[in-house]
Amino acid sequence: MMVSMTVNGIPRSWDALPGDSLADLLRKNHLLSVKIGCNEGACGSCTVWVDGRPMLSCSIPALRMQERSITTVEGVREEAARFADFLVGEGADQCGYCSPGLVMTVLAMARNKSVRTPREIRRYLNGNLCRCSGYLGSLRAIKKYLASVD
Amino acid sequence: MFLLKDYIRPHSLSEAIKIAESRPYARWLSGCTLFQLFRQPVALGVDLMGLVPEGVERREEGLTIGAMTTLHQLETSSLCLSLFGRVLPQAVAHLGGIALRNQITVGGTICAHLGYSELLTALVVLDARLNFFRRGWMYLSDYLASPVHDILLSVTLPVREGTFSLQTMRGADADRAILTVAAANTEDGISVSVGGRPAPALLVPEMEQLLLLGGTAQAASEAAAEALYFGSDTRATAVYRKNLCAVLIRRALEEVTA
Repeated sequence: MMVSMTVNGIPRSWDALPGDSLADLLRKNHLLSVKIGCNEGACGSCTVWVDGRPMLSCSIPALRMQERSITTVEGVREEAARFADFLVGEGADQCGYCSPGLVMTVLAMARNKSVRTPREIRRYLNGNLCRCSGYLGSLRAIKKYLASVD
Repeated sequence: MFLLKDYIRPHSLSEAIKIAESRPYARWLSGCTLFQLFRQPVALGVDLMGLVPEGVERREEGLTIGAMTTLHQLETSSLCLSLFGRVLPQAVAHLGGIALRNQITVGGTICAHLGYSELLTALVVLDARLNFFRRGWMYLSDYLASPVHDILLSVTLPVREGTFSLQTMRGADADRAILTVAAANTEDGISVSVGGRPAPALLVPEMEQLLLLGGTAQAASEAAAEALYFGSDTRATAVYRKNLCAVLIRRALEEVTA
């Protein structure tokens, strides 16, 4: 079945199977920043924005995305690069598998001014797992990034 | 990948019901977050997105929450933040990250009748009534005791003045609840619900009686825990839950009667 949606600002019509998740569809169409980690909605690696809201693309049927607007890291290159500099600066980046999902969540948080205390930040990011960094470096990078954009 | 063979997006609720009647193996699709977790093949998914209302509003009969409302909408709704001692935002705040809470729906949580759900425990104590497409109104506690196959449209909570409390025990901040207790002290009296037993939430029968008979919150809580059935799972044993239950009920009672 065909599904028409806007991906990173460009209208697309892609062929999807009923069993395809949004993550599958994006990866099939070469948006390889979208990573499938746990494939059950627990790790956050597949986070993309649907109509501006962060969601887990592994847990959304692709066909449901008719007429919706999807944003991946490829669509927010400049902002992502700026945040990546903070991550690298704090030594909080190792294998990088979780980074695209983390970046999408943090950039959404930067737009939501009501999330700024360490507790609120942690709760916002509960669903983004990282097996390398130990989180402390990432948290330092996030705080510095948020301070720089606010 | 979903283990989904076929997908239909009906244009109306009546069409959705017709499809489900002619193809009994069909499953409703709501937030879709449990789909991946259960890993059960589904021959036909009928998408309810856009057919079932979403959003929170105050109406004459009470606070009405559309079944497609996401947990994050509930968490940030100014009505939910100002009513019922904020137990609704509190009940969803620990569930996963923002992306997951942007997907999980209130209706999906109710219709999956998840035992560990803190939201169900809070809704039961708030006397939630469910509005189904075919069956009409039904109390949440009745639904949890004997679920019906229907499409949930909305949940209505009578707005009452009072004090409310939600007490939860979990192994880690983002983990599921081992046990969860909600209490309300309103013009209708004191009521307590217990969820994560690990069966779905239910009201403690005769809570006011127990308080009168026991004399203290401690004695009433122990009697209440004694009256409920608990089970064991990977998170806790039945005995552990029973002991924990008495403590959480006492804390909730102390908070709502303070």
